[in-house]
Amino acid sequence: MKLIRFIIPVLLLFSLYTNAQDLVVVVNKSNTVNDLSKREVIDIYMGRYVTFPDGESAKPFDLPAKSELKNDFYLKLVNQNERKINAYWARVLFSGRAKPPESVQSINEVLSHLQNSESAIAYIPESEVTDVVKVVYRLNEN
Amino acid sequence: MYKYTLFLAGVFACISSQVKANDLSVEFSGFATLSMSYSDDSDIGFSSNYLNESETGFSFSRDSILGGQANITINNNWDAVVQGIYQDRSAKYFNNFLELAFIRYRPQRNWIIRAGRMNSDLFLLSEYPYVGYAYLWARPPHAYYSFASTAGHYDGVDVEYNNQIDDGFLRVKLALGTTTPKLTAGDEQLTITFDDLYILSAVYIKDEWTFRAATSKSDVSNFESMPFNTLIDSLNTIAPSNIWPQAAHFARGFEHQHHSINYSALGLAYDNANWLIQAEAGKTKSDWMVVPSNNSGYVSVGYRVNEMTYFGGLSIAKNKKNTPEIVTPESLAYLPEAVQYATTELIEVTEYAVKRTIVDQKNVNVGAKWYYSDKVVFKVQADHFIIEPTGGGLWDIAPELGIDVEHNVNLISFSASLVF
Repeated sequence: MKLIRFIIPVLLLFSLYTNAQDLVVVVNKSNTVNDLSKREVIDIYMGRYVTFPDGESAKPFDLPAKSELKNDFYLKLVNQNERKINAYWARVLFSGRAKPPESVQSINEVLSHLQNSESAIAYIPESEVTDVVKVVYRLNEN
Repeated sequence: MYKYTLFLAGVFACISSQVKANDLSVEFSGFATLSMSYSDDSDIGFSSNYLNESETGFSFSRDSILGGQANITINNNWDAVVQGIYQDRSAKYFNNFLELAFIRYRPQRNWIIRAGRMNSDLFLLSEYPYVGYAYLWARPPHAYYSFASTAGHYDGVDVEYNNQIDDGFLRVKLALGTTTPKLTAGDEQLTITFDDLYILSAVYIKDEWTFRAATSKSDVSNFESMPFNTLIDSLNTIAPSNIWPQAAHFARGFEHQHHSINYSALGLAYDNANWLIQAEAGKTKSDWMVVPSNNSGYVSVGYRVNEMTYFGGLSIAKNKKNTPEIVTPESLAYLPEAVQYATTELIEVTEYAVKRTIVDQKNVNVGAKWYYSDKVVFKVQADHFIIEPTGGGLWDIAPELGIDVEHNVNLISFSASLVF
């Protein structure tokens, strides 16, 4: 009985942690885009295109530098850690090709941008999804 | 140049009617490298690229640089970029410090049109040769990128198409423009105008791989150089007399008229979690003796361990032997002493000018890059250069040292590069 009392909270905690790290890509609820492929998310987050596939403007947001979520996002998306992403954006920015995603300080700030702008796109833990955004891609999909 | 100015004027007139004031935003950013390096040959000056001052011994300015950029968003379809750099240029003209100044229009998701001053899209590092934070080395490989800096940017227009092809990303660009680099050779200033410059380039990126191919052609429409112009005048003066039958050939060879330069390059990069491998090969085809035909290339291998990347590489540049050997006419001995002296001197100067432009060098380097923070990297690099006899075209070799002998130069560099 003691063992069960111990295991249940541990399993609960583990499931919460896992959900928190299940990243999803979200856009404003009114955005006409309902679904993005991994390649299309890469196109936007790596500055290859500045629009969604339907041609509407896309403005990507990044979570804070050195945050576990940001590092996790890029590792899952393009298999590159934050160091390589920083070097990549130095190349792209100073070649004049594109600007990096705007960095925000918190998930609440991301949600605020998503609520106010139809062109906003961001990644957040699935547990933070609210009714002002819609999920267009799950990082665990391939 | 007037045709591009007219084009730009048209572009600005066109967008001015479309821009809403509240769409306009300007963002500033910058990059810098502070470098200290030491070259162990006090008679041979080294410069990291052809536009910069050559220096011997200790130097803080050899690879140091400061760059600033403004990204101006006009609306969803239009934006502009201006970038200036400060580096130890040998010719200190505004033109040599303005790196980018273009306006861009995206008529559709897959198409981009730009006009103004842009980086020549010929090499893997073409678009960011001065951003030390972004690449491994203390400087782009010398044998490959030194002379390339003279055509590092151009004024004109380009059209780019990009699309997903077979799970990879393809970018094809066609550019048309002109460029007029000002540099110094020895103590003399030199200006070349490359006109009707066409560049066709393609880049394909798939997973860890980047493939690149580019080809270009340009006409030499103007060449201003006191020593070369004096030499050309002297050769043209003596040519009709037939005292030295080769004089006319060399006069035509040095004159800028009716010469064009073709350049083609291939590049390959592999970048996974640990390995960063990069190689490029280029071929210059030219009948202009000031910029003779040339092959160059390099291979670089880097390995990442946590915050450190250790690297090593080889680079080579070699001219093709397509210049005829200079022959002193036997009949010279039968001419008056003054004519003999003047002709002999002209032949010697011509031979020196021909040899001085030849590039034949090898380089091996090892180094490390330390990713200190998300804004700052530190680097250390040791280079060994072998300059083959008559192959010092990229170096400032003191005349008394002789250009017909091999020279070896060691260079060690420490630098900090940052972005802000």
